[in-house]
Amino acid sequence: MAYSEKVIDHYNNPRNVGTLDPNDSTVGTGLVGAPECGDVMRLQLKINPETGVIEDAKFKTFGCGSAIASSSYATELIKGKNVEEAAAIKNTQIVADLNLPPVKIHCSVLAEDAIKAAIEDYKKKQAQAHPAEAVA
Amino acid sequence: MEDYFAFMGFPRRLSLDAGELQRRYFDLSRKYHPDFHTHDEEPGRQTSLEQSSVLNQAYRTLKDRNERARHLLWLEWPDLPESEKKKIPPALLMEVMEMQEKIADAGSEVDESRKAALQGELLDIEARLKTKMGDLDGTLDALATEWDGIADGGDADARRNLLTRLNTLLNTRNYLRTLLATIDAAVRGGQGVRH
Repeated sequence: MAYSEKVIDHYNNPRNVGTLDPNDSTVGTGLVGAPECGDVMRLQLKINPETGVIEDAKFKTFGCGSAIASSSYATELIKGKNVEEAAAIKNTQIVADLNLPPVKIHCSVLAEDAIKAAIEDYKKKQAQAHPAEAVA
Repeated sequence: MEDYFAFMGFPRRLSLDAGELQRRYFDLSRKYHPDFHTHDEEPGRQTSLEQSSVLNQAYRTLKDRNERARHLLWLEWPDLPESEKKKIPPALLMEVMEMQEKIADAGSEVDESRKAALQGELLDIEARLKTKMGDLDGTLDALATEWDGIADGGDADARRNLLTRLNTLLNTRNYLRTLLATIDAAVRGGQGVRH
């Protein structure tokens, strides 16, 4: 299968691999999987509760090159964005930017799911930490 | 995709007589084999070529009990929603992630004694996973019997409920299979998993 240079670059030099403290109330963790291939992806976002801006993003993915590249690319894409902008990212953008072949589209879906799950987790934690206030 | 059960003249059941499947495969192979149709007029010749390709796919799918179950699920619930497709027991994903991290740690550990300890842990995990895999096979047997009992029955809720459980089981199995292949690659230098 012919991968684009961008996929190979992200696969060989994945950006932002690692973990953030899952107990930090400003960190949202998204853990998602693709049962058809057994891939797992964990994406963590550190979000500034004042501004709603994603200040840091880390991921760890066990799966194929496209899954790793998709999640690595996703972390680059969302850093510096605010929560609403990040939540609006569609997998089709990742497919287009990385030029993923059709059989690997599900890897980009995984990345989109992970972003959404991480944001949801962050919002839930914020609601618990500040029950009276509205969450950004 | 075709209905492989119908193509080979079987009812949509999860239990299937392997001998009968092979007999029908051989019979149909002769019937559709392109060599027997070289003097046919078009489009007959083209059709026999296509049919023999479908036949091979049908045979491969029905022969493997898990593939057969996946195919039946697809036929019985063609509009299975995305959320169902990804459904697995909630704790499993976390467990899979932890095991994958352990496998990765074992691979990058340079200290020989620590590496040996990690490899030992992997073997324990592998044994546990294999037991789990065996349990899943047993559960699939039970689901098969249950399905074959209500396949023609009118209770749509009971059928849907069973198909939901079948889907979760097949998804769980995929994760375990990937983990086992990854452990095999880490411990014995096996092929790993083709993603």
